[in-house]
Amino acid sequence: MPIIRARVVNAMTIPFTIQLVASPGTAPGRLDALVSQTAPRIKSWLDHVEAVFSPFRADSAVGRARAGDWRALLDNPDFAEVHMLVKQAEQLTDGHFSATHAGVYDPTGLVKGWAIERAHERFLMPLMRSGDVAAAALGGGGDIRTAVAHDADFVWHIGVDNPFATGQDDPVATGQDDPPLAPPAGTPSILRTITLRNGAVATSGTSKRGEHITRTAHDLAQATVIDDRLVFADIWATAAIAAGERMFRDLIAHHGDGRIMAVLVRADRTVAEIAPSALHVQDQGAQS
Amino acid sequence: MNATTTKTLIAVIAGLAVIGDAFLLFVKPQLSGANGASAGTQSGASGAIGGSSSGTAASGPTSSSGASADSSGASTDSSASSAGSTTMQDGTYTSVATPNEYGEVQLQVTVAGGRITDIAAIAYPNHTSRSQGISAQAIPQLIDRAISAQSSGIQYVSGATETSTAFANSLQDAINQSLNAAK
Repeated sequence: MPIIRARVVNAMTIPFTIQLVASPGTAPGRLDALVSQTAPRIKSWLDHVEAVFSPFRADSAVGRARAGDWRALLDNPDFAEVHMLVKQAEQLTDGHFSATHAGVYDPTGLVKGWAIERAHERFLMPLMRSGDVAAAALGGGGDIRTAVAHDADFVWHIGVDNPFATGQDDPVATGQDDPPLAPPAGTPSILRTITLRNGAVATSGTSKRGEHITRTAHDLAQATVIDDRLVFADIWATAAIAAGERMFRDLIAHHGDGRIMAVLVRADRTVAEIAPSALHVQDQGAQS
Repeated sequence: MNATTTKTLIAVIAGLAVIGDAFLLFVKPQLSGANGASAGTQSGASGAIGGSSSGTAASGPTSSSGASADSSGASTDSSASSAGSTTMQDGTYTSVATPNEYGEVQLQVTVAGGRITDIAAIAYPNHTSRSQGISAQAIPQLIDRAISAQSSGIQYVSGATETSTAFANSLQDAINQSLNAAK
């Protein structure tokens, strides 16, 4: 069993989990040190991203853009890059992904995935290149980016959450201030397991806070998308919820080039999988 | 003589380190992430918008993006101060094209009378080099990715329901415990 270290940092009001897997020659103490060095850097980066992109702060670049001041496009490369991705996403999804809600600019739906992708690139990939780490991943708020070194045989396992699991979906319904936590792994609240080496997983649903999705269909309760880059997994997952299953299948048939995998949970609680390349579909029937 | 040699050596090493950093930050991620489709293109990983001539923009945005990465720990937003003090020159500013696996987008920002008067996005779908990327990547991807019904040995959970900090911590505990048990 490989040595893994996990570390949680809190930013953007949600927990992000860093996980490092040691290379064969890396001692546990060394791995601990690497996690401890990396965690504050990732937190600083995420805090910085929030300062630039928070729609709730009037002094953020997004806040100023909402007030009509788009100068950050010219002097903030990150803001410009996110805006380009927003434009690409809107075109790619025929507008089902949109960063304009009620007439107001809000790229929040893309920023978290983009920030994780960048953090993974800047802070975790160097640890793999140096040979200390065989695999490295970063996840937060349902978005996960993973990588494994070429010569390592490690595989990441990512559970797809069951949105209809009891005790988890609606804290109010439990009648308690602190709803019972779902067990961490190996429980019935996991619908499917995704095995992945280098790639990204994102999930959108109807209950995600801070994500405004303008929906044209309401047949999907949750969409989990696997793609090469987290930004695009995020975009497609959001588009699936907004567009509904039929339109989503059409969209990825036109633009996805067979690269996309997905686990769709329908409002009627049935689960559909979209497999790569041939877009082969397996209906899984009703959930228990 | 010895001192000069040492100085030169240090300069060369520092130069190589900077080049190496830039390569790792901006070129390598694109090569690995974009399926090799963008291997022949310029390293414009940053989304910065360059001056009115798009050809000169390659070095400027790269360095500025690196600076923003380095200063990411700073709590103040650097653009906040610069936005207020700088006046924008009239003209049309075109961003560096940033290719990815789905194509590329360029932004055109028009400034007139010191104000941004127009923001246009030109999106180019990726239809030229994709097939090469697929043939190079298809087999590993099919092996690398799978969806199954099993639910053991999970490192992450992806869901639309917001996971609490306590949940993330319990996941971390569970992983650390299983590791300790395996030792």
